[in-house]
Amino acid sequence: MVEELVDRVCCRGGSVLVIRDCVACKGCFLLQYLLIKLLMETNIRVVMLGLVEPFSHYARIARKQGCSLQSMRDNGRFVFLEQSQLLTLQGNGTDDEANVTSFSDNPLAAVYLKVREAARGNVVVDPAVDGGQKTCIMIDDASVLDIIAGGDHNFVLDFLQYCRALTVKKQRCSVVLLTHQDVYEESPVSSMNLALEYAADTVLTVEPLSTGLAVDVHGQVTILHRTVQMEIQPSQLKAVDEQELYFDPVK
Amino acid sequence: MADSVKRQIRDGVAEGEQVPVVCLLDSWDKAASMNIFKHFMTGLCENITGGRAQAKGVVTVAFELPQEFFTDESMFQQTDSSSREWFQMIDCYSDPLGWEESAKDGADTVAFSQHPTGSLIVRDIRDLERLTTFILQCGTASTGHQTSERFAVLFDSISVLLRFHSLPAVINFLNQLRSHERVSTVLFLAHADLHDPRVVSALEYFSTTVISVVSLPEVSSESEDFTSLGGGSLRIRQKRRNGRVREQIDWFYLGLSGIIFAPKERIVQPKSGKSNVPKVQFNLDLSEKEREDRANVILPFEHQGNGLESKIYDGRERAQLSSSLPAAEKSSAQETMLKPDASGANTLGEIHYLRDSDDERPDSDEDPDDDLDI
Repeated sequence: MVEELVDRVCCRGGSVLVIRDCVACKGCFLLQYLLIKLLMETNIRVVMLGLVEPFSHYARIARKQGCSLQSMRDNGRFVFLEQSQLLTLQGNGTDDEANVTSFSDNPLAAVYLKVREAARGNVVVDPAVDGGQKTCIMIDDASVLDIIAGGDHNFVLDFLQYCRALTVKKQRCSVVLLTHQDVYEESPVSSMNLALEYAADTVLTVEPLSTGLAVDVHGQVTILHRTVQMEIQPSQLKAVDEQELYFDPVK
Repeated sequence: MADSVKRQIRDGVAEGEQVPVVCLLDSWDKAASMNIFKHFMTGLCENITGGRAQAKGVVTVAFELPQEFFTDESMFQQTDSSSREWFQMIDCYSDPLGWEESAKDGADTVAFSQHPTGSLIVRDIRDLERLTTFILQCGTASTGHQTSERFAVLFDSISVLLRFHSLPAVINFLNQLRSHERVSTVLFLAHADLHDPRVVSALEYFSTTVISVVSLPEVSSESEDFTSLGGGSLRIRQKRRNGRVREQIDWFYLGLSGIIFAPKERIVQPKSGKSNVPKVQFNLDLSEKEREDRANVILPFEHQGNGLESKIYDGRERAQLSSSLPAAEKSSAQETMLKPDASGANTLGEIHYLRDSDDERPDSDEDPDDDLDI
């Protein structure tokens, strides 16, 4: 179920969790849910690429749930990369950019270097934990990466490959990624949705109920585990005031 | 049949033949195909350590899976972990485009580097010629630098290469390996639904053996001593040396320890208890004999005329009727009409009908009672 995902996917190095939502039912609440679970219940470091929402947005929601992102940010558990930080890399003609374009035509290569720097910088090794601290990279959301890459899906896939292969203190990072499935439903059908699915270990699909809107149930989350075994678990969810979530397995 | 593929990988290339190329095609179900790939790979590794295989070394090129997946201890249960010279890894997963390396020195891309665990990290998979050189180098190292021995080449997924290269370039790359004198066998995996049908059929033409994985969403196995994690079928098409093509379907399920082949009946359970017949106290089903008897009954509309064309008298004039009949039958028809009693047994059952009036058309739509005033 959704609650198990933190242990099952986010804590496993090299694994990729893809959250797919659609216009009718947004999936960013799942990203926030996982973020807060990761920070509150585990000792994983989180590097977040906030391409859609600013830091204050996440901090506000987290504060309501009793988690101070600011203090986490100060002590290095949580690293937030603002969109402005990432986007100044391209098109400004800085030294960085000249350096980047010399080895790759992919504009996301520069973003990757920034992510790597953030992930590897000031890693606090907690002596109480064996095997060093793990890192999780969260991306909100991948369709913005697509825009940065100039619409080339291959560039996004390359970037994703690098994120999952990134090692911090010999531990591979896990990746949690939000993407919109309807933006890739162009004609002819692009293979981006499929390629993302192949890259993913677990796919979470967020969609409205097929029967229409309901007061009690806000949507349905389907979990699809792909690597160890194929397993599909649908559950219905209810969001209360953006703070609490209830998941109810579909009988 | 899966065993014959295993044997084919083990036996490698025969005298005067092409190197066998085994292509594993999956669609959507990554878990099953990875396990099948691992199944063939461990089979080959066992055969190599047992000295039964033609190949004396293995070169695994990892595009999609981290090398931890392959150097997993469970794969080397039977073998001595100290001597893994024969097992060479080429890591195209960690840094396929050289971003890591070039960012470090900002200078030229280093083509490859040695990982602490002994595997080779390729820094640019866009250079296929170089990749071929690496594979051959690693192959030579895997056979202990003996020039007479052969080695096997395994690719965990060719789909990544197809993202960077055109189809002819990839086929050419594979062909170079196939035609190399040191290569014993080539095994690769491809995700069929990521590519055009054209690409898939090109890969199928190229390979000696094509294994297509079709997974079943729900698999239930009868034995209870294990937990099944899924399963499906493998369609294996093998091109024989004499030109014959053999195709067979094998069924498998994923157990905790890996892939297990089993007959279909054990994997796909018949959907009993889901029949449409409602539950009643009496028997609604027919026995075999009842079914036969029922099939033998000739229904009333079937035996009329006994094979002859049936003629139904519609009450029209005899002349009209007889004119419509063929000449031979005309006279007999008139006879029977005129002398019903004289014709004997044949006339039995004949119905005589006299119409009220000739001006009324037979089977008229008019209501006969419309003159009644009620």
